[in-house]
Amino acid sequence: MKTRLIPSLVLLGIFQFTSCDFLDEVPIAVINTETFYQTEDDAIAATNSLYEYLTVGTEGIFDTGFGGIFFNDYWVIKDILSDNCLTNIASDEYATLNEFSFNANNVRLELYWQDLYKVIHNANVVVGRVSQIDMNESRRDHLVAEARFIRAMMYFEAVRMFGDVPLILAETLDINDALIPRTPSGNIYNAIVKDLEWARDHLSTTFRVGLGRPTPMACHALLSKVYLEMGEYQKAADAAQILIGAGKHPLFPYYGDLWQLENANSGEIIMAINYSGTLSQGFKPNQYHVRLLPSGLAQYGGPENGWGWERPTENLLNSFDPQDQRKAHSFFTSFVPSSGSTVFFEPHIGKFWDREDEPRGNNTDMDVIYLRTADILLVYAEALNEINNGPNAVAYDMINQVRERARYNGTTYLDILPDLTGLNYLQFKDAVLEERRWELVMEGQRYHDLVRHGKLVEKVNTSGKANVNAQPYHVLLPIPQRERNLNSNLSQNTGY
Amino acid sequence: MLKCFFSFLLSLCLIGSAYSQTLTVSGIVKDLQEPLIGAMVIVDGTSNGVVTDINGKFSLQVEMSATILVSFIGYQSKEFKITSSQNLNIILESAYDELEEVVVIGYGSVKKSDLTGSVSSIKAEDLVRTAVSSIDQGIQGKAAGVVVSMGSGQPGARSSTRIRGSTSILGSNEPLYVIDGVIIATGNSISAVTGPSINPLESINPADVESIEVLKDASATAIYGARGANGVILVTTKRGKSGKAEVNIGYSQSWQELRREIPLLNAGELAILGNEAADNAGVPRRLIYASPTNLGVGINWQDEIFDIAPMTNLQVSTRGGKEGSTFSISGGFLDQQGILLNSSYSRGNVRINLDRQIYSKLSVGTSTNLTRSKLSGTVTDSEGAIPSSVTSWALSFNPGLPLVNANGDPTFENNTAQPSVGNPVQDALKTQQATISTRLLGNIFLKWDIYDWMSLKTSVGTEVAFIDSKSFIPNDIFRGQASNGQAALGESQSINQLWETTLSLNKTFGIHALSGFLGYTMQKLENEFIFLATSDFDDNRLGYNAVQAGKLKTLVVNGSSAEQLQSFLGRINYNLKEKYIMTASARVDGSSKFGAGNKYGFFPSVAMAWRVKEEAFLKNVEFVSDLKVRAGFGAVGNQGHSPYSSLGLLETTEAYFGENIIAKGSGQSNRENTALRWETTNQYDVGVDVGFFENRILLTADIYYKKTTNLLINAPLPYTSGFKEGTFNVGTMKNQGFELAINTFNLTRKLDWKTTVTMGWNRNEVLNINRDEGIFAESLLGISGWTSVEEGKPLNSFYGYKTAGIVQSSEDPTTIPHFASGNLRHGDRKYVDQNEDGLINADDIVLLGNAHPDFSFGVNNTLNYKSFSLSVFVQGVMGNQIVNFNRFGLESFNGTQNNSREALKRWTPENPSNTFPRATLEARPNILSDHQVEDGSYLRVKDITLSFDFRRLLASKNLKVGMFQLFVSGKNLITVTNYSGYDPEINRFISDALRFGADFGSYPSAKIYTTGLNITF
Repeated sequence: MKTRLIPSLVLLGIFQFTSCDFLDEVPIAVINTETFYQTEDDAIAATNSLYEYLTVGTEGIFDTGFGGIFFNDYWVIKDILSDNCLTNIASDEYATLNEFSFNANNVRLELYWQDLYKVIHNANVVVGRVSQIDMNESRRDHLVAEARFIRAMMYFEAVRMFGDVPLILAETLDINDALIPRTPSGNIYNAIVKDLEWARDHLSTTFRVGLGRPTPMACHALLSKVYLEMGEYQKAADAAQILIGAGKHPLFPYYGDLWQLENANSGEIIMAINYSGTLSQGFKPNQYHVRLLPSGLAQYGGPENGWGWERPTENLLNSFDPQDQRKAHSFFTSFVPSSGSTVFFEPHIGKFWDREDEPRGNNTDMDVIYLRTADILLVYAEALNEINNGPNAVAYDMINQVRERARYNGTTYLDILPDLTGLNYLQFKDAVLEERRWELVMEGQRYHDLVRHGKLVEKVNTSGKANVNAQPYHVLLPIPQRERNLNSNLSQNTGY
Repeated sequence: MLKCFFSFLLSLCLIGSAYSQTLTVSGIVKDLQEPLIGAMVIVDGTSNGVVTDINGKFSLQVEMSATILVSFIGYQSKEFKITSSQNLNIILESAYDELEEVVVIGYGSVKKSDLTGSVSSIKAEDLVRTAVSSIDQGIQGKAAGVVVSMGSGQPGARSSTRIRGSTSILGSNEPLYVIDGVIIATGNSISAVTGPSINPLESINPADVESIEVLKDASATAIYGARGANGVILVTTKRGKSGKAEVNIGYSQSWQELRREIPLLNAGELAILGNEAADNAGVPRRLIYASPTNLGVGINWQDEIFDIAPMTNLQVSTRGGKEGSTFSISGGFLDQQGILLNSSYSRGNVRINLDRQIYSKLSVGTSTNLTRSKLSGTVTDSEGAIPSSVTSWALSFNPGLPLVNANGDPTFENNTAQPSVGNPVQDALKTQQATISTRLLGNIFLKWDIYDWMSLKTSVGTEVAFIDSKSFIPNDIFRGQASNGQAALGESQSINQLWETTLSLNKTFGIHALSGFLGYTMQKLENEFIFLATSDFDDNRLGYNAVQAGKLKTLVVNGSSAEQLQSFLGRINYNLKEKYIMTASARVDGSSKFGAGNKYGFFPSVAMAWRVKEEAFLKNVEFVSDLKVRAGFGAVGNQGHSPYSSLGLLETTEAYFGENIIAKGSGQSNRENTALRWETTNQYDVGVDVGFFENRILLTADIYYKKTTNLLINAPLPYTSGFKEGTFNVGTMKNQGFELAINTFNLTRKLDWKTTVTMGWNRNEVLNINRDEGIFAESLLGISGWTSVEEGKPLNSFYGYKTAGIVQSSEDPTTIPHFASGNLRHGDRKYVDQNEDGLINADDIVLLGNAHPDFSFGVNNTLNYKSFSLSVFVQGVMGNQIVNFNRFGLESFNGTQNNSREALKRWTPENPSNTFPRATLEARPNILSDHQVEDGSYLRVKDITLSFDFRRLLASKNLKVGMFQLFVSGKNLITVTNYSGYDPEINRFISDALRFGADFGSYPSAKIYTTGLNITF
């Protein structure tokens, strides 16, 4: 009896408590993907994450990858890759972009690519997983539409910068799904249009309206820009017309009103990437004031922590009518301290600085405008000029609305920038390009505009920027080498 | 004839005893040479006993048939059954018959002679002799192949231990600690304060330790399966022995002082340098340096923050018991002030170890330890992007500034640079930081001796740690200026529960001896933490005790994690004819941290030993008294990645809709990887144990090869996956080395002299990390890539540029390769253009050194003469480098901060130095070069202790004590090193496996002078 008891006791000891689920991991302080994506709150949280990835990303603040594309690169790269601005930051990654001597190892372009696909991945998660959540259908559709709009934004950036890129429209559960070859840009554009049309039809007008989130109006506006790039001029014009005709986003009377904090997310601003220095307290606000405002003014009570890294070229400054109110507002050339004499310095880009609300600069509430009416007016004008092989009355009306506003100094209309008239197709096309340059300095447009107009090499190489050498192949940027090392299916753009 | 007489006497006594219940036993207790004074002679199971006198003699009344027990520290006890009054001549043999010594191995113990694996043993007296405050310090230099690096001189700070090199990049490289059978969770120290983290090994008081065994090779550690790859340190605490209770009291008082100051410029010299720097850069001289001669010497700020500091250590213990019921109760208290103002460490502990046989075959026991400690520190070891340690500040602060300004207010900040630094004295005095820990470590066991050859044991162990970190920076010092005062609290709570059941067997069949065990264990580790911080204080008085006084809530974070392990294990020892010994073990480890597809790992080992000495052909070779050859193989694991790594995880995001709406979100942060598993280390070890001349010379040598596969690597993922990188088991790494331990008994006469030497060589190489670029560790001072993991190179290597002297006046600077940023001038530093492309850029970066020593050693000499005892312990390492980040500031040569006196050797046209560049305010390339990478080798007289035992003197006055020892000792008195920093025993990022070997703003270590006494009665 006893001899049998012992082994059974031993077996009991060993196996009674052996339980199969003892080794299961059940995290209670972090959420895992297995248990998430179940409720409406989860759907909202998943969608909200996209906005952080657009604004600051999630790399550590001392990591070179800190910041989403709107943190600075969206508005820095497009203008230093042009005749508009130069950079004096002591870093090769920006200097080579400035001089058009970059290669496939450029860190800024790699990080841009990273940010684009990080947002795309998380948008794909929302599109794929939120659609499965059992919740109010219209709200669910709205969230999916937000994600699809943002996904379209990212692909629109990607296709204009890199040309053919891997088109991934579903969450990559298997790594091999991310190792696909480049998709022809035509397919990318089709996917963008599809996303924007779906978003336009499903974005709610009562749930999560505006304040940095896409609206049906934003869909029309972005569609017009996308179609313009595609060469689908009629569709571009149609979309622009809907936006303009709706009249929901009238031009501000004065150019500088665009960057008055009290005007955030209103009026002409169709969609802006929202930042809040007040709420984030620290490193999360965009770098407008840190990068662009001059250094050395803190001691006079002026902006702190300004570095003045990107500055306008002489070529840009000289292209303006001297009294153009956009020039007056966009560039910051002197500072009046509360006591003492005025300090003068090289022109810096001060257009994004609300001097009254944030006199010390640095940490800011200022948003990064992504879509605004003046841009779309000029898109409409450009499209009409293409359709009719010359400007018609509507086209003139569009561009002249923009010019008219530039005359207004806040009290009166100056006698400058007369209404355009009597231009042929090419003259009008050039006029639109020039108008866009004055209107949209440092707003993420110039590189694309020059490429679209086929004038990148000509304009950049005659801009007077030191050491600059743009080549025809620069109309596309290189596929980041890191990505090609990891995905042998990726071909490189010519020239790199 | 004489013999006959004695037997006659003896028989008389016998007859005499028959008539009396009480017998008188007397005698003399000796060792091989001389009488032993103070030996215990007690009647077993009673408190009746005496101590031998100055002549080693005793006399004792006992009852008929009583058993007397004769014992003396360091000797094997003897028992005598008394059946008559008699005069005994008792000779005690030294307890240190090395081969008969029992060595604790995982889940059991073996005679040293039967050991098949590579195990180093450190006995209590070796720990206590050197009076260390934590056991990791006691291990340093005592076990071949074990390298202990001290991270910081802050009292109570943690250290780092490497056994036979590093095996992991992402996981931990620290050994597994097992205290009285409880596998403890090291590293559960949080630090909300900016400074060194508290030593998790503080829960074990060195005075309570009976022995420490270091399991080094895989055949020994495989029984710990997925946690054995970094070696295992087994700590066994003292338990009671039956017999008269013994009381020990130890008390010591120490004084600590800074080992050396870094020689700095005085105020006038700094001003001259500052002016020269301005002139060379073509900018106006600064007003503060206007008249160097009037500035004089000024203040050496190091003198103001360092001071001589006392340390008190008190230990009390009592042990004893009766047959079947023994106890050991001890308490300790350590109070150590730091040499840096306002830093200290105090610790108290109570330990109770009880054993009781409740039935003839059933026994129970417990070991319980409670420790509470408080580490208070000023801000050190907190350098990141900018220097912020008090020690850095003291080095950089302008010596021309006064302690107190004309208004009587303390100097607020430095005036030489922007961004500025604060007054280090004020910072040290006013910043409050404390880490208070409460740790309970205990286990209870039940053992059933089913047969004499079979027993079943089950034990439940618990480790509970509450760690409470607090810091407060008042608003009236520089550090608190930006935040207007800042308070932070962090609390963590870790609970580790372990349940183990083992069935042990031990049976001999003729010439075959078989032993072994089977076991099942379950372990659960849970961790919770909360951090909170507030800032903007109007009132500094309440400090961190009332954080709600801060107007701004800056941080509230909490979290928790848990991990579970479930294991089946077993071991067989087979011993044939006491000559051939084989051990095989296996553990199946299941861990929750592994991916769903890989929950269980199998870790086998096999080892053999051949006691060649027992063979006939060696039996008669006199000078070889012992010879054993060992060989072993084992597979062990490392599961040092964090819980939930295999799951798809979400992170909390925060964006803003408008200026007033916070949009919290959840985005994917970690890719699910169900294939994630343990790292596997296969280790081969061949060793030999030899004794010569009756074991007067004992030598143990081991050669090993370790190869780690399935190394966890954060491998880059294509960004199109949505992730930057993911953790995969793809790397490989190897370690190989040689270890030698020599014990010699040089003199065993009146003057007894024993020497112990340990030596270890280790070579590490990262074989494969499965990525094109190296793995960069976090940047420091804006220098990224100063240390990185590269294939074909050892882990923790340093990379940078080789210097090529200074541009001399005779040279044309424009022809010399230089960095793209800035032109070269006379007096600037040149760098080697490795690829000779005429440019200095990242392509010219080369390997500059490695944080790990090639060779580590320890030599301990113990001399005993009558009542005197002297021990000298020398320890050192060779072949490692230290990146001295302090030198960037100390040799800035630009007048924006104070510099070391090396600045006086700077290049000038008149003094064409080829080592130190010119002074200039112009920016220099911010890079690491061989100039900052220094040889970290050192040889250090770690400890000298001289003691005198008054037992002999007291015995002559009829005061009988077991020991009455007075000692003086000195630690770190002599150090031979070329390292230019405070101390070569430094490791700023002790907890970061990828950033070993940096010195930056650290708390320097001290010289310690101690006097004390140990009494046993």
